[in-house]
Amino acid sequence: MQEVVLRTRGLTKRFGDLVAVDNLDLEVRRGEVLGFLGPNGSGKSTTVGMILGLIRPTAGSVDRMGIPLQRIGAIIEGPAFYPFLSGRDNLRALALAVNGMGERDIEQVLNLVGLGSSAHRKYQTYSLGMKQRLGIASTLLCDPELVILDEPTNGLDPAGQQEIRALIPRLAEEGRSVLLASHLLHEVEQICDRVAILRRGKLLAEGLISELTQQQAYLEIGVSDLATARELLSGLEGVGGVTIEEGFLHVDADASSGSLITKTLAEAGIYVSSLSQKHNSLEDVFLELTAESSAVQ
Amino acid sequence: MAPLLRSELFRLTHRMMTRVMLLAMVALIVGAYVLLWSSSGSLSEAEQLDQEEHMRLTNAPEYGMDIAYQVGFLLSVILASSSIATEYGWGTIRTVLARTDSRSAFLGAKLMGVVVFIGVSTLTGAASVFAGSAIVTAAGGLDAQLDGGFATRALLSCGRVFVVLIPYASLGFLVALWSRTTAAGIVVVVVAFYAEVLLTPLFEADGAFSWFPEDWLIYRNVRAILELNSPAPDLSFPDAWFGLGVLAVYSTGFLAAAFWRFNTRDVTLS
Repeated sequence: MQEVVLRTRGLTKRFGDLVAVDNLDLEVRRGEVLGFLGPNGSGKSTTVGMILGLIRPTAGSVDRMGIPLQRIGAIIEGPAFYPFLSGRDNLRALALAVNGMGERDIEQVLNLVGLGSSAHRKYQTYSLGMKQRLGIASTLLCDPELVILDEPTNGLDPAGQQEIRALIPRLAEEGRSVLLASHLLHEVEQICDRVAILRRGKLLAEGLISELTQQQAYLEIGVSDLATARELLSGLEGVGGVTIEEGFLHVDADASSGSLITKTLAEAGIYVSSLSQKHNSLEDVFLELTAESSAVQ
Repeated sequence: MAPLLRSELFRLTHRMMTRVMLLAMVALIVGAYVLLWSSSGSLSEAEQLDQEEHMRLTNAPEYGMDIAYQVGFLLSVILASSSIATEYGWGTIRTVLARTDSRSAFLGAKLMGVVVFIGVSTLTGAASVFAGSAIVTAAGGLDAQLDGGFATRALLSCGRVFVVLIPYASLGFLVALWSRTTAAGIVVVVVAFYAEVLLTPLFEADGAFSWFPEDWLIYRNVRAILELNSPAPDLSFPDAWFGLGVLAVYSTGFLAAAFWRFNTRDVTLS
């Protein structure tokens, strides 16, 4: 079991009648990248605000396990820096405030995010992508134990996005923990170990991405007579729902049912041209969970 | 708090606004001396002699520091209001505060930065007064001899101007923090200042307002302290020690309210 570096228990925030975060239990472990997902207004930023002490919880607690705020690097709802300072001076000002890094370390961080050559320019002249890079650089000041990134690739060109996607797992390999809030589910799927899915302040699911997507595994079967095959398989032992999608049968069943299914179809004179186990993407899981939650509410 | 103060001073010294304000102060004060001198041709001989006496370098601590106060008042209120409100406007409050264990330390460092600026602007104002006076003294061929107590008088007048700039800057800071806008801080202070300056004589003039607590307001106590710069102080103002006490109560009250508000308010993110 990995060491927990951040834990929330029953974390709740109400703004008047609005419950922004509702009884949230969350854990971030050392050296992992936790994807923090949720539609707009789901309470992600409020949760991050409470973790960082910017917002006071109505109930519940945040335990940073003794990690001082100076050792938590965070971009919250986009980067925010002093427009009259250069990129380099912004990092100097922040490093001074947290009693942090020296000049050489600042240069290293700037080079790491590809801002070395434009660090002398004033922040107000930066493009969105450059601001984002500076934001990421700022999170790496003072050897952070926990890095919180909110949409870190927003505004970056494809090459920049790829650099950041490569950087985040490297941070985890160095033993840092990363909490990544993002709407880009394919990005999260590539980078993260675990995900937590939030909607209307409630935690809908939390776990390894592989576990969440495997829970929704199905068999995709290619046959000539889709309608008859569907009738034959519906009600078969070990088979859940059967649907026809894009010229294939989608059968809710695990791989061990494959032989029974092919035998049943063959006996009816329907021969299988292809059979493969598929699982839903994180996007499918996310959409399904958040849609279910909407329907319930 | 020391790291936060270092960061605050780093930003303050790298901000163009700070330099522009200090340069404007120099230009306004020296310009005021030159303009007053160049317009003295329209005065009667007695008035001219009086003005020359006031503008001589040796009398600058008595007469010139009032100009430094007038300019410093506006600049310190602008900087104090802007210092905290722009943190909200730029969103930088969440960048810095997210890495700060103590909100009070953050706000304390901000206030220390403002106090340092008020100190620097007082010294800049004094230097400008002495420079303007020296220019006029030299250009007009006035008596350039300095009295023995010049340095002491200059230091005391600087100290008095510094002290009386604090309450208005504190009020601007509080209002800007509460409203999260620089303009609100400046406007409220300017309105409070002029309301007091303009309304107090009206209340005083009519016996029906004898209950009006003019000696407990800010400006009359500011004047009570600045009058000490004058060789013939106006005795209608309260005692200077009383004035110092009242201004200290106002400043402490404004800053206590600012700390309370800052420590109890969520830093909402958008």
